[in-house]
Parts: sequence; C-alpha cells; structure tokens
Amino acid sequence: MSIKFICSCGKHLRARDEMAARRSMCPRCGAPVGVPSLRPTHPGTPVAPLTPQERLRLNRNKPRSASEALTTALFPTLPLPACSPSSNEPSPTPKAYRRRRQLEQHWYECLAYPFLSRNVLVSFALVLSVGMGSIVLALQSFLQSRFPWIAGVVVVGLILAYAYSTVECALASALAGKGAASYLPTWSAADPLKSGVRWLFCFVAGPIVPTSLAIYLWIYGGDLTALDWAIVVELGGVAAAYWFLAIICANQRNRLRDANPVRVAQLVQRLKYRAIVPVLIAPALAIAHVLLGLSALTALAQHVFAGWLLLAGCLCSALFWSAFFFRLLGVWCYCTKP
Amino acid sequence: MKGPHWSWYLLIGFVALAPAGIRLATWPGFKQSASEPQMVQAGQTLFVHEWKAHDPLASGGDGLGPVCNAASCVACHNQGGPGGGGDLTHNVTTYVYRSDAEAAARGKPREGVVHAYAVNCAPETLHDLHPELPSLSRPSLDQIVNLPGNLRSSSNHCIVAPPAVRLSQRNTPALFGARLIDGIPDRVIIANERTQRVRWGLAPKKSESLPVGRALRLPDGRVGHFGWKAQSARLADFVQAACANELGLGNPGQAQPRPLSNPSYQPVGYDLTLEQCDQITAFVASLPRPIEKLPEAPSLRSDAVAGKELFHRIGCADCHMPNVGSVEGLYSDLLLHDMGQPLEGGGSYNDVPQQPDPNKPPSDPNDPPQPGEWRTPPLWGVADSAPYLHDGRAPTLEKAIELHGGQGTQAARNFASLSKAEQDQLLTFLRTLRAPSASD
Repeated sequence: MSIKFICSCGKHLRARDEMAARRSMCPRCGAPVGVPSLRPTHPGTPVAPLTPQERLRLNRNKPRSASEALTTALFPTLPLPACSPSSNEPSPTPKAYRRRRQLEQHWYECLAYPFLSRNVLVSFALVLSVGMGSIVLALQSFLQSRFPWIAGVVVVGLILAYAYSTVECALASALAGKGAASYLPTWSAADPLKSGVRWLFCFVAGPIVPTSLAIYLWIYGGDLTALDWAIVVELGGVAAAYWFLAIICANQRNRLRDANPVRVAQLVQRLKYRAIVPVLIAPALAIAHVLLGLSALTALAQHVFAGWLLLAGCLCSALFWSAFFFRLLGVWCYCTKP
Repeated sequence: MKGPHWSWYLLIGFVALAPAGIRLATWPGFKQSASEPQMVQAGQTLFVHEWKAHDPLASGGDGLGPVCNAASCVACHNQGGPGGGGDLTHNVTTYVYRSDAEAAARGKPREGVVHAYAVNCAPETLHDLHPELPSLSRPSLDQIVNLPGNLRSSSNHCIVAPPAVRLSQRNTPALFGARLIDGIPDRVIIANERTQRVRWGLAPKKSESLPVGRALRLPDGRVGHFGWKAQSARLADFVQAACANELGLGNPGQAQPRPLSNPSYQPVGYDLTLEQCDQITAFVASLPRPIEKLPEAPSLRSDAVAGKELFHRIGCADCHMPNVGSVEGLYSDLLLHDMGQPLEGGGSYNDVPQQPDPNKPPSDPNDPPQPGEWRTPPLWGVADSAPYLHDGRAPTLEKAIELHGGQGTQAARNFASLSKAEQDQLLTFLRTLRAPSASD
C-alpha cells in the first residue's frame, strides 16, 4: 500500500508507508514535500496535509520555544499557505491553479510582495548597512595594522547569504505556484549557505567574465570617456542579466547544473517579450544600486554621516526591488511552464 | 508565432559589440620608439656643450642666460655618468610669490627660480624677491635652513616670508631610463591611483596618512610623468622646461625666464629650435636604465634578498612599486603623495601651485600639486644619486627614510621598528639599485 498525495506543482506523487510523515523531494519541481502521516500526529488533527487555516490554528495553540517567540516578535510573518491542493481534487492546470491560489494576476500585483516581508527586508538592510559600513570604516586601520579583517567579511557574507535566501524565497514560492505571502528561510544555517552557494555558483558560471572585464576597464582604462562608461555599463548589464536568469534556471529544478547558457537561452525564449525585464530593466536597476552603494561606501570612508543613510536606503531599495523582480519572474516562469 | 528576423539579432549584436570594438582599436599601449643615432649624437653634443652668451649654437637668441643655474646640462646631471643626478651644490632655489597685487594682476601667484648665475646683468638675490629677505645670491640649503626663524616655517626648510613667499630647493634628478618612464601610458598611472584607493578601503583621493596617491592631470588632460611635482607629462616637455629654466635657453616649448632684477627683459628670439630640443630629448631617451646589482659576497647577497622582502613587508612598496606597467624595477608609482608639513616645498616649475581652498572639495583630481605633495621618486639607481629627498636634505638613505612624513609615516615607523640587522638588510637591498655605469 502506498500514500498518494500531490505536490504544490500539481504532480501526483506516491510514497511507501515507511515514508509517512517524512520529507521528500518532488521529482518534477525539486521542491521539498511532506509525505502525509498515516495517523494524526496530534489528537484532533487530520491525516492529510494541513490547510492554511488548520496550520495557523495549530501554531497558535502550540507552546512556543523562547527562540521561536523571539523570531516571531522580530519578524512577524503571514502563515505559509498550503503547499498542495487537497488530494481528492484533480490536478489543476497552471492557470486554474493560479486563480485558486491567488497567484498574482498582473505584474503590478507583485509590487505588493516585498511589503509582505517588509520587516525582514528592512531588518536585513539595516544589519547589512551596519556590517558593511563598519568594515569600510575599520578596514583602513585594519589594513595598516595587518589585522585579520577577513573575519568581518565572513560575518557580513553570512548576513548577505540570509538576505539572498530571503529574496530567493520569493522566486522559489512563485516557481512552486504558491500565492502571495511572506516566505522566509529557516533559521538553520543550511538554507542561507545553500542559497549563498547557489548565487555564487551562478555568478562564477558566467557573469564573472563581464564583471571582471568591467572592473579591468575601470581600473586600467585611464580617465573613462563616455564610450568607456557605455562599455562598463553594458558589461555590468550583461553580467546582472545573466546572473538573474541563471539563478532562476538553477531554482526551477533546484539543480545547479541548470545555470548554463542553454537553459538561460531557453528561459529567455520562453519568457518572450517579458524577457526585457531580466535582460534590461532589472540589470539597469541593479547597476544603479551598485553605483549608489559604492557612493555610499566612499562617503562612509570619508566619514560623511550621510553615507550611513545612503547605504541603508540603497540596501533597503535593492532588497525590495530584488524581491519584486524575483517574485514577478517566478510567476511568469510558472505561468509559462511547458 | 513567427520570431524576429535573424538580421535583428545581428544588428543587436553589432550595436552591443561596437563600443568594445572601438575601444580595443584605440587602446593606448606602451610607447617605446628607438631614437635615430644621428639625433642621439647631436643631442649628446648639446647636452655636454658649455653654453655661452650669444653662443653660435643658439643662433636665434641670446644664448646662455641672462639668468641660469649652470652652463651645461652635464654640469648638474653627472652622478654615475652624463644624465645622472646632482649633488647639493647644484641645488636649484625655487619660489612661489603670492601677494594681493600679483593675484589681482595675474589672477594667480608668480613662481619661478632664483637663479645661481647671471650673464650681462646683476645676479639674482633673495632680496630681489622680497625686501624682507636678505640680499643673498646663490643660497645653499644650509643658508636657507639657517635663515632667521621669523622667515622660516617652524619645522621645515621652506621659507615663508610675509606676504607668503615660499622658497625651497630642488635637487637634480637622475635621467637614466627616462625613455621607459616616458613610454608608460597615462592609464597605467591612473590605474595605480585607483588600485591604491580600492586597496585602502575606498580611501579618499587625498589622504593624510594612508599611502593613497593621485595622478596629476595637467590642464591639457595628460598625466604628469616627470619632475619632482610630476609637472611634465612627457620627456620632451621636461627637457624643454629644463633648458629654459636652468640654462636660460628659450625654446618654442618654454620661454626663458626674465631676471628678477630686470623683469622687462625681452629675449631677441629662441635660443633652441624645436629640432635641437628633440635632439637633446633623443639623447636623454637613449640613456640606459639603472640596474639592480647584487653584491658579490654571499652574505651581503642574502642580506639584499632579505632586504627586498622587508621592503615589501613594511610597506615601502606601497608607493615605491617595483613595476609600473611593463617597466620593471622602477620602484615608483609616479603618483603625487602628501609627505607632510615638514617636507613642504613650494610649487612646481611650470604649473602654478594654489593654496588649498577650504571651500573646494579636496578630491578634485585637477588640483595642481600642493606644497607637501611630491611624485614618488623612482628608486632605480638610488644608490648612486645621493643626496636624497627633493632638496637633498637627507645625505643617506637611512636619513631619507626617517624623514618620510604624511603618507609615508607608517612605512618610516615600520622601518624604525625593525631590528638594526633588518634595517641593514633593507639598506643593503637599496644599495643594489645602481646607476647603469655600475655594470662596467
């Protein structure tokens, strides 16, 4: 006898009884799925996966640990919606599923997504501002004293990985067809580390080349002319665009090897005219934020207080826009899924 | 649905790649052209020639003078062979005169040289410059140092007489390997500036303590390569300025100076033609580059190797970069560095120094060199070019390191914190940087 259940992507799945109440992975979308239990885990709870309302009710009644209470107080979030439709329903088409689960219908609806996680995003922006600003301020004295300042970079890198992971949740949830809500990574270090590795891999797997060329031109190009700036911006745009697309490709099936030029080209082809967003608009905003961030860090290095405000604003804006674009692209990818 | 025609992709690709293609085609490379032997030969003749008033080689002008610092190029540039540095006796006294009347009339301060010699006119004295200064002609560095304290800045050798006359001296720099420096593209020097800023944590362009230099952009957009203040972009400019300022040989590139005692003096014409200037430039460009000669004794040899490592470790190489572009063993970044108040010393020969304007952002790259800013002197051949620093106030390498201030303070402190044996190792390394004649 086997347990039948449905993944959030609509795939009908079966699992052996021994897998009851354990976690597995969907072979189609790669998302983690919970195998339903054969008996209620708590008195009064149903056997099948919980509905959002049931999960909310259960969470309210469940005694919370101190760390969970603190987490909830710091980052109040909406409950996670159910990941899969009920098992007795036929597998819905993506469009029907989108309607039922209230996936965003129009692009502008995705603008609301970052505001659902605003507390988390603003918190990350502030923490990152303090971390990055402190490193820049301390770097000059660290360098002179030959202090191992790399430790500070590691801490900021970890915070950055959490931020990546949070932004990536917007993409992963949309790719899985989950409706608009606040999706956050767990506090386990594994999620941000995996997310950080994925972002890093996607960068090394292509965008590092145009980025290096742009930096080389900036350093060795002398006083840059308008033509030079055009090339630097173009290279930066190519790098950012490829990075966005590679991250989406790697997330679609949760496979790093999908971050390759063929998959990226297929994705662009699939998105059709919508590809203008990851290819032009998002990179333009990314470059603007990078330049703004560098200005802020430079101002900080010169001990200008406005640099702190500029840096915090820049990071806040960058995280909000990233969440929006990843959510939007995730929704579009879900809708155009072959 | 039918996709776009392939020609659209081609057009997009062409437009995307066009800027990079244009940039690649115009990428400035290392310029190094060999001079013609006849030009070099003629230049050598001019370089060692003892110039006289109404000299036959200066047929268009008045010849040597009317004011000058020597009668030939080789009179000053002679340490380690023609083209080398000069000793203290050949120091040049420079001034910057900033009075309200001058500023109103010219819009900028007057600057120039208090020349050592005069031909057919009264010799220049400090008194000609300002009535409060003594009637002293051809002042030595010691005489400037020993001037009354009310005329001298408290902690350096620069005279600051009211109303703001700045006097300082310049030691003769060596010219060996000038062709290689001349060939370094501007972009490489600017790259040094950028890498230093990035390396020191996005440091401001003008830092008081971090070794973050700046490339001097001249008014025409070129970057300074030569001169204590990096005031000359090309070797030809440097030669033309030196001919005019030191020998009084006016040329199309630089007018000869007028005597302080006779400011209305009008030269009859150019003393040197452009071709003659090019010949001298060709000779200077033909001078061989200095060498790095390890001592024969094994113990000294190992000391020199260890000293080179120390040179990098204590931060000397932050500014005295061993390699710049494709030029190896230069030991300079060719950037201006603020060396602190004790090493302040007026402006440059050709450019007009300005007082720092508190209302102006200090990071303007087009600022002329400030009194405390000096181009990192290349250390190649340093063992044969004593005395050291811009006015030769340091008789030894050890003293020169000790006198580093401003952005060089940390390296000087690091040197002082080394043990005596390690300091000796570093000095042994520096003594391996010899003039080309040491290879004989």
